[in-house]
Amino acid sequence: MSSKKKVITLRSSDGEIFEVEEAVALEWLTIKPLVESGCTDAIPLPQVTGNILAKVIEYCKKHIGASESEDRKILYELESWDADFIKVDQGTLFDLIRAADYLTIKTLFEFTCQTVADTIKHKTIEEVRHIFRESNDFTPEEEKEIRGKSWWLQGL
Amino acid sequence: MHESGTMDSSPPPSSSSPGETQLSDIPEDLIREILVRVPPRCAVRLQTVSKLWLFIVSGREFRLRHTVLNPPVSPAAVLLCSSPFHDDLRIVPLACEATNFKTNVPLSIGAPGVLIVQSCNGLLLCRTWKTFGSSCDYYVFNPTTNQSSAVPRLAACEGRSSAAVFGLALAFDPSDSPFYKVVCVRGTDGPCRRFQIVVYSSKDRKWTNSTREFAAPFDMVFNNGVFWRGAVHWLSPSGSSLSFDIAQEDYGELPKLPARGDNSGMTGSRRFRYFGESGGHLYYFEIHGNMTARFTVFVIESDCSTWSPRYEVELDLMIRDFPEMVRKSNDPDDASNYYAFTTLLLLKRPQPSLVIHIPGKILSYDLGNKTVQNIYKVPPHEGKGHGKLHYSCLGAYEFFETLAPV
Repeated sequence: MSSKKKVITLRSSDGEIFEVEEAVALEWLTIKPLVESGCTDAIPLPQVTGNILAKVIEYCKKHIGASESEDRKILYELESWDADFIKVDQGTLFDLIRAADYLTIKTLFEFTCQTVADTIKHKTIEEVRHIFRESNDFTPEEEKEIRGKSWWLQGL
Repeated sequence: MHESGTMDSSPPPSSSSPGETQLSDIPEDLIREILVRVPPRCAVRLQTVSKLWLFIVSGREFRLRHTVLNPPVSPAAVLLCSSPFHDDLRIVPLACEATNFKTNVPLSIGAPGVLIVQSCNGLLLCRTWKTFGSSCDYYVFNPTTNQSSAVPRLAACEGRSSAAVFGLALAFDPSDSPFYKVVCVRGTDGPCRRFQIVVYSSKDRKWTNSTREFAAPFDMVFNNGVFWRGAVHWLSPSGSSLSFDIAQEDYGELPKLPARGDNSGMTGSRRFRYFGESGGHLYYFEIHGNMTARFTVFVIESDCSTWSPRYEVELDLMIRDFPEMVRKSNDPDDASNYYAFTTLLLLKRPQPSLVIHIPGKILSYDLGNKTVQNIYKVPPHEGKGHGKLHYSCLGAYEFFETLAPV
């Protein structure tokens, strides 16, 4: 085996080329079989744009090996790095969730979903509707009925 | 793999410009993944976003998964049940909880005149009042979702004439499983004081007989079971115990209760005994005599070998701030005071504390630093006169948030 780390080439939906270490790409379950089969061509990722793919790679490079660390200092440092990493606009955040889902990257998927969950728990219903572009499709009677069923919702 | 080869010529998706993303195409799966990570109360609130969100949050599979992913750590509030015949509960938020609580909860479990038998990690076991000649119906109620489900009545099976039910207990541990079990102790046709345990599981909605019959101490009562560490534990008035491990179907006993007169101040006749679980610990204390406001709280050591003294309670130190808990004796020659209080509940979290009822007030007594906080003022109409202790020792329950389906 060569001591030089094997590099995998990826191509984003907008044609940008990225190189990542094999160890990083193996964490992405969607492309893992391709990587393991020894594919040397650029792997096309038609659902991820270059700017999002760059963020995904940045996250995975930082996390590889570190997430399993038991060193408190490393974990603390990683936590604050994560907090900075996720300071992105909502559009990017949802694009990251979609990319993590598409590429099947468990850690990034859970982290991004939890970030959105933490964000919306303090928002009003109207704000949540706005973020998710959901429209209120209840009739006033239906809404009243749901509120009546749950005492959390009464008087809110 | 996903299609390839054509992406070079395809225009970049509209989502590439930050902040301008069209979010309406967030698939249902991803909304589900986000909602399964919000706290239970918040998920209930978010049901009102749209029909899709209501559909997601109401789903049984979603709720089962949410239950396991969000096992309650700390009780959000204390439920006060003022009378077995009242259909409403008082919900008293604990310190540090943001209060969006409505404090009067209709306990709509589908039957009038219900009482709470047991609170277990977010679910309540309730039963209808027993009338002569009829057995009562049991319900499992989730106050977070306001849903209840009747526990099916046990059929008097195998040609038995008497399948007397001596008590039911709820076993629910969401850190282990989103399903609950109900443990029923019933008599056998055989010799007197022999029992059998039948277990109901919410997973398959069936009762299953435990194989072995067992004998119980003569004064054992089975209507006050406590669930702790995968087993239901019962205590008899004279202090003998019985435990039933649900997974192992195994019977056992708890360590011998602390002897009276040790360092526990247990002198005089027993006025009150507390036996309950909180935050993964099993607690026990006794209060002896009307002149005492000091007692020791015991906890079972982690190796289950013995009850150890854990907290020294000195409620008499509260008199300066709460003079109403002192009553003068009716006998003019008797100059001594006695104390008017009942201990309702021992909580491990958010911090170890005792919930105490004194005339007109519900207090939280911090077992660590012995400070006291007034958490609920009993309205005069509820208290039936200012001097009365309204909530009985059985009237307070831990309330945890969970979406667990019943």
